Amino acid sequence: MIAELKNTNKEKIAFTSTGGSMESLLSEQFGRCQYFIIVDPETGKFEAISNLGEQMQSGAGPKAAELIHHHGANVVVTGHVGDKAEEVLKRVNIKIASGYKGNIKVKDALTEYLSK
Amino acid sequence: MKEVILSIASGKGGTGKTTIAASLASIIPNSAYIDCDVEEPNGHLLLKPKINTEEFVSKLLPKIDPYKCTVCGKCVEVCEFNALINLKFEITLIDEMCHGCGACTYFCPGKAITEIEKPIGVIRKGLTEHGILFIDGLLNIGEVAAAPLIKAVKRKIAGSKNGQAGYFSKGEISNRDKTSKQNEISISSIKSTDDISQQYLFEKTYVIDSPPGTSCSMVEAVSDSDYCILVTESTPFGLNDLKLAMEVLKTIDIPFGVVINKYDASYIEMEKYLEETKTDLLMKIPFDRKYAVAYSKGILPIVLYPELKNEFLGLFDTIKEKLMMVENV
Repeated sequence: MIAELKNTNKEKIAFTSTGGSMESLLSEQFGRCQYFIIVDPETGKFEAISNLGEQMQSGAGPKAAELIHHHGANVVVTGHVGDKAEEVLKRVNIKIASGYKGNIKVKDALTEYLSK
Repeated sequence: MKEVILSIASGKGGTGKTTIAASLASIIPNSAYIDCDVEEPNGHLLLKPKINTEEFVSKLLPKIDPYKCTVCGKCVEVCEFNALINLKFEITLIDEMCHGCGACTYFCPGKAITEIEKPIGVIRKGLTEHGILFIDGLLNIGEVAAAPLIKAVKRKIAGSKNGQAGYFSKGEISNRDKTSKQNEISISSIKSTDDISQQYLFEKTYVIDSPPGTSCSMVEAVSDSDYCILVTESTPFGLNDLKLAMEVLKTIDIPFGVVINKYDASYIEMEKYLEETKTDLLMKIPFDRKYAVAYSKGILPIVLYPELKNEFLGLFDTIKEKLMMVENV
């Protein structure tokens, strides 16, 4: 949306989100979140990708993992990741930071994640 | 009507499908009991068949040759079930999501995909000591999709129903006839003399024990039935799930009636609903501890309690009438 995130050496953090901006609330669902917000913490630029998984009958988790992998994420910050999605994320070396609650904004989740 | 498929289903689990299916199979002459609750078949605990054949059932999974695959992503694109994931350096398969439709193999431009068989379960076949033909399916642990195995179990019926050679060889059928002749004697000794179910209406009756619920596996189990018995219990849960199951049967156009098990007269909502919807109430089985005790020992309550057996003979008569009505329409 704002910037293309092309440098793969840097850490890119994917947030599961209920909306398309940094002000949106974090989504606790991984596979069936509405949006992924992929942030480059060095530049502060972010990209919002809508997630089709919301309408999928089954297999939303692995597909979501595929989606953020294709967008260059190497960390995902979310509430919970299911078994099948976790398997895919591990195969493509995406770190999982789970246990985040849905009552905080994406930008606050970013601060929280970076402070850890 | 030569052969009849009678399915026993329920929206709610634990209402007594297996007990009712096994009881019916026991009192209906020339019957077969088919356990389609492949995730946890338990009819064998009550009918105690002697299993004589086991047949493995497989599904087809794509196997991608990494030397031929260019990771073009065509297979991922055509997969309707999200079973294939593009990791960029290779394509990976999530086994349990795959329905084995073969689209990926068909569309792969590099012919990099072949199909391999993966066992999903086993079909067991045998006879009970009273000569009831027994078939059940047992899904492998960890396998999520029950419908393909149920389909395979039901193919054993379809084959013989269409008059093809099917599952049963001629030898097996004649063998079964002999056993059922012996069985007639043992059954008739307990039957009342004016019992009309002694007038053989059907050549063969397949009693299908369906999995609970209203999902794909239930639909797969009950489809093609001539009649379906919905088993429920006198609770709000029983009523709620009965409504869902009725909706399914109406949609797929299968005639049905209801048996209320663990009947509690104080729960009037159930019968009120059946009356309102003009649904046939076929039988009420009282909530009685002695039936539960028999069941817990793996004994069919009808074996110990003749009054219940008579109820079931009456149930079979009712169903026969319903089926004749259906046939005459």
